[in-house]
Amino acid sequence: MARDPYEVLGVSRGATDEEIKKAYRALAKRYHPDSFTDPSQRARAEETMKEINAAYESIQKDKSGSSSGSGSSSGYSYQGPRNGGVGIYATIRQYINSSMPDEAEQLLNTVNPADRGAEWHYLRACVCVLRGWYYDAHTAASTACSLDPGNEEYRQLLDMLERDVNRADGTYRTAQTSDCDICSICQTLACLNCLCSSFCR
Amino acid sequence: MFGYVKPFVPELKVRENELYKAVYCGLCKSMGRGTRWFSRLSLSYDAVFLAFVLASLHGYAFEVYPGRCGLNPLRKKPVAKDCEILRYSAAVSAHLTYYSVLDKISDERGIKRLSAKISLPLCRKMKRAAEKIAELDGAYTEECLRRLHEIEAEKSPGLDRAASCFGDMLGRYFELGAPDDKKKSAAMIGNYTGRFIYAADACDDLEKDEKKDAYNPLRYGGTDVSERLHAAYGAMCIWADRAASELQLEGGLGDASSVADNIMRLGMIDIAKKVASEHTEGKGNGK
Repeated sequence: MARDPYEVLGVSRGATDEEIKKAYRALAKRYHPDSFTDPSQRARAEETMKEINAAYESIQKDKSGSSSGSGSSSGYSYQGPRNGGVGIYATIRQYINSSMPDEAEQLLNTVNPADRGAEWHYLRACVCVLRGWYYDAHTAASTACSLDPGNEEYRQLLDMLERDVNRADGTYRTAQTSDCDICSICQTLACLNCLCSSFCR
Repeated sequence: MFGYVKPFVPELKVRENELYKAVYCGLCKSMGRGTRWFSRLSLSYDAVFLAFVLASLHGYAFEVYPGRCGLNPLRKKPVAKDCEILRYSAAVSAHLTYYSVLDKISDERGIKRLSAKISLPLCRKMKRAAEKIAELDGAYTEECLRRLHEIEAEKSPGLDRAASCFGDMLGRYFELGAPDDKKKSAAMIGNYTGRFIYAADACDDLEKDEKKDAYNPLRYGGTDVSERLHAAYGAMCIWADRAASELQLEGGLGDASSVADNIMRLGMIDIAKKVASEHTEGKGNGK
C-alpha cells in the first residue's frame, strides 16, 4: 500500500543510521506544516509529514525491532465567517464556508450599492481570500473595519491577512537585519588591536 | 517581461550565485541557437526564474562548463549546458517578448511606439521559431491579454482581477513546461508569480501613470494611496510566499530549488518593498 520507506526518505537500503537521520531531519524541516500558511498547502505538508514520519519509524523498527509512538499533528483551519446573520448575508456566509466564491459574489452583487455596509465589505473580503485576491481582500477588510471598528470578526480577518504578510516578509527582514556589517567588525578589531598593542607590551 | 523576479544576492551561497550566472549565460546562448540572435537582446530575469523552477520540478541539475561569451571573448565563464529546460525557457521568453511588443504598439506613443513597430518583424520571426521549439499555447495568451485589455478599458479599481489574468497567462507557460505529475503546482507557481509581476509593475508605474493620466489599478478606489500601496505590498508578499511554499512541497532538494526559493522568499519581497515604498517617498520629496 505505502511507498517504500527508503524511497520516501531518499536513501539507499544500505544507508547508515546517521545518513537516515540526516535525510529525515532535512525532509522534516522542509515539510514542517508550521511553515505553510495556506490551509491546503498546510494539509498537504501534513500528509507528506505523516508519510515521512511513518517511513522513518518503519526503518527504525526494521533496524532495532523497537517501536516508538507516533507524533500527533496540530489541526489548522482557515477561520471563515461564522454561519448566521440575517437575510441574504446568511446565504452568502454559507456559500463562503463551503468554498463557493462565485455563487457568493453573485449574491453580493445583487445588494444595492447604497445598502452595502460593513458586513457586505467583510463578506467580499472573505470571497477575495478564497480566490487568492489578497489586494482586494485587504482593502475590503479595512473598509469593513473602518465602518464598524468594534466588530471582532472583521478585525480578526484583517489581523489574519497582516499576520500572513508578516510571516512572508519575516525571512526577508531577518536577512536584512542579520547581515552583520563586516566593516564594523574590522573596525572594532583594528581598534582593539591598537589598544592592546599600546597597553600590553 | 519586466525583470522584477531576481535573486537576493547577499543571501545566495557562492556556488548558487555561480549557478545563477551560469544559467543566465546558458539561457542567452540557447536563445541565440533556438530563437535567432536578436532574441538574446530580450533576455530577462523572468526567463531565468522559469528555468530554475522547471529544473527544480523536474529534479534536474544544470551541468556547468567553462565557456566564452561574445561580449567578452577573452575570459572564460561558467555556462550551463544546453538542455530541454533552457530551450523551453528561451522559447517562452521569445514568445512573451513578441506579445509585449504588440502591447507596446497599442499602449505607448512616440519614440517607444516607433521602436516597437520597427522591431515587430524581428519579434514575429522569434515567435515563429519559439513555436517550433516548444509547444506553446499562443491562443490562450491572446485570450488572457484580451481579457486584461477589457479590464483596463473598464478602468475598474482593484488590482486582483487584472493581476489574476496576467497570472493565468504566465501559469500556462509554467504548466506546459512542467513534468506531467506536477503541472498543477507549476501552474500555481506561475500564476502567483504573474500576479506578483503585474502588481509590482503597477506599483512601479503609479507615479508615471498619474502624470500621464493612464490606467493603473492602484489609482482608483476609496482609500488613500499609501493605504492602497500597503495592501498591494501585502498581496505581493502573500503571493510570493504561496508560490515558494508550493515549490517547497513539490520541488527537488538541489541547488536549483534553493535559488528559486531565494528568488521567491527574498528577491521578490525585496522588490515588493522597493516598488511599494518608492512612490510614497517620491511624493514626500516632491512636497
